[in-house]
Amino acid sequence: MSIEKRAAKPPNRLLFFAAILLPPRFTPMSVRYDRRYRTLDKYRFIAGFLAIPLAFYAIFVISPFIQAIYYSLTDWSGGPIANFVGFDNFVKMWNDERFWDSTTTSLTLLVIAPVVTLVLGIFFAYMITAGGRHRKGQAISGVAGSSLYKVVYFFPQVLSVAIIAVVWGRVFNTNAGLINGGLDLVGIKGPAWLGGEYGLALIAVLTVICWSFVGFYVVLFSAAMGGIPKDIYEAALLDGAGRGTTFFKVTLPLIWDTVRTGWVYMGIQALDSFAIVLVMMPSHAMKVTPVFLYERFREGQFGYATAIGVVLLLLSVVFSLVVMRLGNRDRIEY
Amino acid sequence: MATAAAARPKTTGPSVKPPKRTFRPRTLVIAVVAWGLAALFLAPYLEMIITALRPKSELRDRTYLPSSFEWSNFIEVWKQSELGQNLQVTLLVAGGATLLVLLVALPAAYYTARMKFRGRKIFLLLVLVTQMFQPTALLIGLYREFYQLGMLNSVWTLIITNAAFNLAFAVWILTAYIGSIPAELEEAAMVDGTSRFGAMIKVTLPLALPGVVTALIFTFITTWNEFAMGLTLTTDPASQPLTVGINNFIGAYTVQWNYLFAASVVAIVPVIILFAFIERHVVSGLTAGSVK
Repeated sequence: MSIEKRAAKPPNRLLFFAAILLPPRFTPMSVRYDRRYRTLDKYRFIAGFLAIPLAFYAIFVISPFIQAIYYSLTDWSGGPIANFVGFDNFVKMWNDERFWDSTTTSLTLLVIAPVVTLVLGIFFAYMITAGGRHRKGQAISGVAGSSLYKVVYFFPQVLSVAIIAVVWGRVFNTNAGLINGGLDLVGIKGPAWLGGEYGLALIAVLTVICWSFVGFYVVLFSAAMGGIPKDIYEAALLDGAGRGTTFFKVTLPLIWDTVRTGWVYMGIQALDSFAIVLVMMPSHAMKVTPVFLYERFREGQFGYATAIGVVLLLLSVVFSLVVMRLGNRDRIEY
Repeated sequence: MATAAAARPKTTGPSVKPPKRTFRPRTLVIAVVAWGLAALFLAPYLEMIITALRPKSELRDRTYLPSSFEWSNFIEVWKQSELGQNLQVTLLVAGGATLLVLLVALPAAYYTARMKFRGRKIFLLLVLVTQMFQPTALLIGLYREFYQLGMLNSVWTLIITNAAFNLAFAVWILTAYIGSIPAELEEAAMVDGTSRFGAMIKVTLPLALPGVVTALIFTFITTWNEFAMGLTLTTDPASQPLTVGINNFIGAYTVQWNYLFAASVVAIVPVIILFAFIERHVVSGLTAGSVK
């Protein structure tokens, strides 16, 4: 009997359902080649393999997110009651000076931190992949010990932000800190970095953000640069391009996609610099929006805090869209 | 010189100017700057270790090196705080979340890599987009969920949430890794009579092991280091993870620096060891997901 004939005859319905419930190896031949069974079997497989992760997402990522949007419109304060208050929380935020203070700081970080980190990351990555002297007839080569540099720069990435903040809190400490100790040696009295002066605190936080993230981009960009074919460099070299020209005319355009993605990611990280600021400045000398959110959360103003969270999320979405649009260039294929 | 030049392989491609090993001041400057920067990057670690070993009386001193190393700081901090408890919580949470991610992400990644099902692109996109959510914005929603379930302060809460947040990355990396293993190998095994599941376990999994190990260690490290969720979803000092527990040494006015740093050293040692294992895979892991 041919397969077509078997498929043409609809299988016994009872057998059909039994086959759905039993493991595939018990599926009778008459059912196995039925089209409906094949479709169902496919989705059964999907359900078995993808249902659990999707459920996880739904319950612990998507659901808190949707709940956040709902509770941002209520006056929930931790108890069982949450009254719907419309956009009251957002109006309150608009009139709250502390919100604007913290958000100004966050936006400053959002603008400066990605630029500084990415520029440093690209520079280091370029030095690592192309900074070495020309040798053995190769158009480009990395500096000696490039893998060691990568590990050194990358390592903060695997440290907890809490520990990073703790260590840097000490480094920037007014009395016993490494930095003020160094300034002392050259005869300058070091300032209170984290003690309340806005500009100094901002510099301190920026330093820490750059320090902890630059390694990630060094690794990311050197991987991207490593993907550029060597003959392009050779061609540039033959045409008489120096290192600077090679970088701006060859390397940067070719890794631009990676740079843009990194920019978005770094912006989101800068906007979310919660732990660094919270732990480094226990006196809350400088606040960023997430810290302001956390304070409201600890005060029990859960509805208000959620509304701040929603604004924060919107900010990061807007930022991503702007960068994706601004950084949109024609993609160069190689 | 002539023999050295002759010994050099001739097939070096289109030869660019042969290097002259002349000393150039610029090279020296670059080397010094590079080493200096690397040292600058390393200085905070040194500061951490030195402060962890500083005697109490010298904590406010400006000297870079203490007069003696006080190893007893580590014992003191162990006795005086809930560090042991916190370490236990962190171990449970990181271990549990890693196991959960393995059980959930591996089948999902296997399926996504092997089957071209409808919605595959959307699934992968969803995975990426959730990576971009800031946990801080979700914290209160999560808090609400676990508050209603009565699960605040529970180890399970942290295991589940950490697993959920790391799932995306694990699925992404594993999908790329499994996708790079030829499906023909599995088909060959299946022709030889193995089931699909058997082929996955006996053929693909061993080949994908480096990727699996990288994803798992990454999950472990991220969970080990997680701070914001631990801070929000636990209130009782004994059920807080290590990173949050460390924070308790920082008071509003006084900071017990030596204990703080001794505890920090305890917290980063496992990370250093694990990172040493996957360091080589980090680059390929980071770039595996990029689709060119």
